[in-house]
Amino acid sequence: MVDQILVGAAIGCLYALIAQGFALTFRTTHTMNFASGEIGAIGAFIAVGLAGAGALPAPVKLAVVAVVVALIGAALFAVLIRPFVTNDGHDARWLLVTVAMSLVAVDVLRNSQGTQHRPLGFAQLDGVFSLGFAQVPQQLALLAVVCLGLGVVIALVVTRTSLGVRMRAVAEDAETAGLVGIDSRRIGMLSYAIGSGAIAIGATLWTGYVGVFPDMGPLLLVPAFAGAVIGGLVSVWGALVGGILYGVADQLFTYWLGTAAGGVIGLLAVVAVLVLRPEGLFARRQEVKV
Amino acid sequence: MPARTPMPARLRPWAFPLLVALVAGIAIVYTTDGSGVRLSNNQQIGQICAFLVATTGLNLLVGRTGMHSFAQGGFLAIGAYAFVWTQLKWDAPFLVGLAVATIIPALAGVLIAVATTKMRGPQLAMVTLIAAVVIFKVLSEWKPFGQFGGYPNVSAHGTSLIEPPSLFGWELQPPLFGGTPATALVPVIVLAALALLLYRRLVGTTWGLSLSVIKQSELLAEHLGVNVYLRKIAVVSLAAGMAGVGGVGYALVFAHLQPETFALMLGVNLIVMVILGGSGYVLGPVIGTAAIVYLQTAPSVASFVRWENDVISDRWYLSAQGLIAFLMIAVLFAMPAGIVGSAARLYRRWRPRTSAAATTSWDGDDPAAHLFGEEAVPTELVVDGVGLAFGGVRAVDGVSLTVVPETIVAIIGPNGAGKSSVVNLISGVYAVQGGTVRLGGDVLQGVPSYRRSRLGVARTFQTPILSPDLTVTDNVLVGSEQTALGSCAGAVVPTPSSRRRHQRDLLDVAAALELVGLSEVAGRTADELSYGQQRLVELARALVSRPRLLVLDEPAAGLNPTEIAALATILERLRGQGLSILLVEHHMDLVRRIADHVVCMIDGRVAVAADADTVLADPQVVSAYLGHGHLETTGDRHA
Repeated sequence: MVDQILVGAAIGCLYALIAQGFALTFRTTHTMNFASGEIGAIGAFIAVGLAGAGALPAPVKLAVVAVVVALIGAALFAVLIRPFVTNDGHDARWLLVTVAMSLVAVDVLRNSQGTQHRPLGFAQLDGVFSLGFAQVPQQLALLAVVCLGLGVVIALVVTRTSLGVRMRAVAEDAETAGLVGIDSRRIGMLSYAIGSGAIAIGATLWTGYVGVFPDMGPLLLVPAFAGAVIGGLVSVWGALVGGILYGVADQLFTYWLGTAAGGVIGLLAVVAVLVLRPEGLFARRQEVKV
Repeated sequence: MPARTPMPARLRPWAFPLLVALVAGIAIVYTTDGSGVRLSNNQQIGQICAFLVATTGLNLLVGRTGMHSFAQGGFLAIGAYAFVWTQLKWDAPFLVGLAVATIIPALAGVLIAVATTKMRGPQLAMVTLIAAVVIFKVLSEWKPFGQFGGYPNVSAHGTSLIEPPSLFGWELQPPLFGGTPATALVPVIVLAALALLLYRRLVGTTWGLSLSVIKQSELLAEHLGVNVYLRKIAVVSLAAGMAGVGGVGYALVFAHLQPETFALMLGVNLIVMVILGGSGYVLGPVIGTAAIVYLQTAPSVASFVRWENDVISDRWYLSAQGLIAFLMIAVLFAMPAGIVGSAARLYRRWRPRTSAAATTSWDGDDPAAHLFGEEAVPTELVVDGVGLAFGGVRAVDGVSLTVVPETIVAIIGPNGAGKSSVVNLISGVYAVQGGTVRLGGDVLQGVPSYRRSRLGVARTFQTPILSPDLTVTDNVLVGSEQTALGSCAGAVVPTPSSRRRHQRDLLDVAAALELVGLSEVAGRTADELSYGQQRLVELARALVSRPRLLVLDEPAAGLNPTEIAALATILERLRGQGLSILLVEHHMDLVRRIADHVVCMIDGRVAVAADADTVLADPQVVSAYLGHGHLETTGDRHA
């Protein structure tokens, strides 16, 4: 069972990283990318393409993947999402656009790459990492370390640096932030770039374990949602904790009850958390102003 | 723009039902003649009608209430499986199956609504998406539902098609076999027609209007006496029930269920159907559903994909689902109101809506006496030692005040003194931390806003909250008691007494509009009015509920001197009817003219409370407004 907890926590680190991307962009733009899973898939397929490309070391290939996908993320935000950024909480056009983006991406990936699983071809560790009392596949350990490291760095940047201060200023009030010279469009693009690049790295390492295939998006999106809502949607630290929590819970329920019942109960537990604490476990309730 | 709530065109009462009946009749005659040539057409029509019930329900959520749910496809699946289950296990009559398949998803909808009640925007979408995934997992992975063989399947049930159910002795044959009339399409088409009639009927009622109010502002809805929690549960479960009916239609058309059909994609496509067609318009889902089903099934789309392969690439191309998504993005950019919405706008440009068609005009004597004459019981508001802190800041600190019937009490004070917070404590936006609030014999503290509204508290807001594209009459009508207390079933089935009540409500609206001087513009939409007029609409909306206590937050802000004078006259008339009136106000001329008692707040406390002249001359008040060093200044006295 300790093995199960560790495996769950490792995959949970990936969920956490994606959930953090939601929190990051939701803070700065009041939008989030429902196509995040497909962003990961695009990154993984670019990585497959790079696998054959000469003698570049694996970290460099991953960095190239991250940069390319970060640019894609920023461009998608600027072109497709930003036109629908408003203060109206009921205006969900951005959401529909990102959902549609994910469908277009899946469709194109299926048509061009086929639906079969492919090996990633690099950055793969086959061994098992032993802690004495428990064992984890090395690929998952790598995934956990990289995702958690990225997540912590991003969280520190957001909470501790002047860039983070500017992001928070935009999050509070984009218009006023604009008056003091903060370009909310650039901050938004940056948030999307960071989120997308991080997801690309995490998803690529994950596909080193499960293989690369076009339909991986929902497998990442739904657990990341679960992590984000548990974490409170606006907290970059909360998202990290929420993602890992959900990863562990999902793994344990699946271990005990099988994939069908276990997966369902993990998600129902998330809904139960929301009933009890709609603002999530780690975010403070916001006061309404009249 | 997207917060728009289109109202249906005003037609004669029989016109829309007649049109729907006509189209449905033609569809039935066309589909049931039994010729084999039309099999695929019949399936398309059946599928469109089945989905249409679900998308019309979804339209109530997305278009009316502003809730984006991806779970509608899941509810449809629940309905379909429940129906087939009743047929396989119980051999149940069609109507029993239909009822079960409606009720189970509706109950699931209640669960979702309870879980999401405090959520807004993306959180709701995320949870409904999670729900859709859960439902799909259960149906596709749990053994009883047949897994990859579909439901029913040969190995578990001995057949891959359900027996045709019978209705009133008729066998409902699916459109699967040439030469057999597709009788199953009759109930499917009829159910779709009923869904459209239900939708159009609902949105015109106060119950339907209350959904638009929730979409506009949940806070406002609460203050109009609407129990937002229960109403959201009602509308979500109604929509889910309609999805279940759609599922029955789907099961009738195909007589077999394949779990893949009900993956998350279905929920996404149902939303696309609503938005593409035009959310909030009764015909929106009709166009959207037909368009998407056509894209998914029509041979011409397959040839378009072949064309893509020839001209662009045989690897990098979009197939049907990608094309649908691409179309969705294009529509969101180019036609945010959807196909029907854009068409409606073009039509309105060509032929603007004639106003004031359905408004009742006031021809009685004294509208104030009509509203407050007999029933109103004069009631005293007593606020005693209430406090409120935000973090470490004490916004309100031990404030006490009393509003006696037939008086106007004004709260004045510099910005940030806590005036609006006091108002918010009285109307229930914030919970008091210590102290009591009583209205007559009723205790208000600890009571939710919607109950305070029902106990007789009505208020206006600093910035008016109106639905911009509802008419002035409708904006005021939502203030009436029926909005808060009316039931969905009562809204759908008109009874003589409900008709009479509606007429009375319209008369009250006319009286309130006459009282505030807006009778002339009753038929205009709210966004056509000046700011001052919009504030008066809010006042009229507060009045139709016949409040015992009227609370006004800076009613004169943004009004010109003429409008302020008119406002003063209105408030004096209301005072004459025995109302207790509390206002927060900065216009000292207005305060001096109408206020019987003035409370000046400074830094969350009551600094001075007395008659207007005394308070305005008080050195503390003067220095609070003007700062120290202006102590000699006294207010001008030309009011």
